[in-house]
Amino acid sequence: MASFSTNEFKSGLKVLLEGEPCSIVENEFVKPGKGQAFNRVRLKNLKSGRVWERTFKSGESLEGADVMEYDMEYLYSDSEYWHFMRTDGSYEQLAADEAAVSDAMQWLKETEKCTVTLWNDVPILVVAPNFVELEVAETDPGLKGDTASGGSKPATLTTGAIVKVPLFINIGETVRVDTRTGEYQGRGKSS
Amino acid sequence: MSDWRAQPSWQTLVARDRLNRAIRAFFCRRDVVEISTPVLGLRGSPDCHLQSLEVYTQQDRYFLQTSPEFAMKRVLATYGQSIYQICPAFRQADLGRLHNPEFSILEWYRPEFGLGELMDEVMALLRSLPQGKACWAAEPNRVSHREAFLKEFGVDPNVASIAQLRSLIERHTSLEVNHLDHFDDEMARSDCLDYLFTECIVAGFSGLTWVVDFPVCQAALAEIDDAGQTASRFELYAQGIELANGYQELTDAIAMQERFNQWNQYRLNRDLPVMAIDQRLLSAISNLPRTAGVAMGLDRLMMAWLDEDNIGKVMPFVWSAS
Repeated sequence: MASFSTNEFKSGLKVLLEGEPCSIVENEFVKPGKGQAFNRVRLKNLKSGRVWERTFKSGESLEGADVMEYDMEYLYSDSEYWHFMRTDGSYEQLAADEAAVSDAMQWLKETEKCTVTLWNDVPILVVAPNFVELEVAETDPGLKGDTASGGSKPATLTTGAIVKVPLFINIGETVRVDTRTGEYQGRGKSS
Repeated sequence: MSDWRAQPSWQTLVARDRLNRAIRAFFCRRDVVEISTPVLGLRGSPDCHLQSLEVYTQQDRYFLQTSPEFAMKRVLATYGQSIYQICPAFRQADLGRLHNPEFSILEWYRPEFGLGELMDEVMALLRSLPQGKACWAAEPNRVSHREAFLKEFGVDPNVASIAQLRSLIERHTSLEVNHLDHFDDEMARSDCLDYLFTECIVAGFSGLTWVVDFPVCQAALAEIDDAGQTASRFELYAQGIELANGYQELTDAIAMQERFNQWNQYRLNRDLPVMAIDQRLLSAISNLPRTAGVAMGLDRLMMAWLDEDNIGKVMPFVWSAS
């Protein structure tokens, strides 16, 4: 793989840093004139999803990382692997392990469209869609007519996620959730 | 190649022309004479933070100037007159939102001026520009590097140890600092000071701001004050972006040689090319009258004047589109 110098660090470039695949988020050249020039770089660790800021000596280079991102459909889990299928017509299937699925796991229902990141052809990160609609499997009985009091209660969804929902939501209803924050957004369209 | 067009609007180029004319008119009124010195020199600047671009002829190697400073000082030592120059300067690998490897400098020297008088003249120049910015009419903020550093970090920048500065960097910055090297020389200490000052103090600047009272290790080619505490230089910032950099010029050839040697030692330690000393400059320097001199980044001035946030918006072609 080619290596890239700090002045080639463009947003979206995938590089290897200390053996971990990262994506460049932002890169700024800083040179006060009386000190060493450096680049202030925001990177995202593609395995953990963690974003952090780091300075590099200007001119330093990093090796590129063989990273691809695909839209894939979630099929099923055999409890060790989570299986996904490409949606580009190739029907190619891939299995992701628990580490890759960790954050997305609680939002995955069959046929959900996810973004799967591959590093050297191995899935390292599965990201659920920003919004999902899931059915409530368990919650305290709803209070009839209470649509205004603003109170909330925990509800367990069919995927196992626990979300705070308004008091009027009942078992069997579908709710719309923002997977980035885990917050209830409203009743689902199918409910 | 389809992207052959110049990037800025025509109005921007017209504004640039107006700016250049206003600058020339300003110096004409003050009897400061415009000169031109060679852009290519047999010697480059040894300043350890400036890397020169090289040009080869059949016989010799030349350096593209990183600023017209050395040649202008030789002219100044010859005639002792007020001079200015508008010219290109080149700094290898300086590339970013605020940097282009080729850029324009306005540099001028005023014999008999003290630093304060030169600062007044810089402000008079800014205020003489057509369609002046309202915020330039007010007196700029003034920050003493020394006092700001003492107040923010509780240490004297002249004596703080490199270990102390490294632990301050860890405590005061939220990011992972990885670019500072692990040498323990005075210039490495200066790099730490500069990083702290940039990230923790300059980052909070708004409007026009003078910085004065620099640490001794950042004297560059400025004199040290009588008490030996601060370097007699100033910098001018607009919204935290450096516009100009001025010195009470060092006229002591021995001190200058020592600073060059220190820079070259820094270069040697870090595998940067060592720059042969410009002996013509050293011979000239003891003939320099007491002088204050300043260099201003003209592209940066244009950015501040037009409220642009990227140097590429004020020049027809940036480095990568040349």
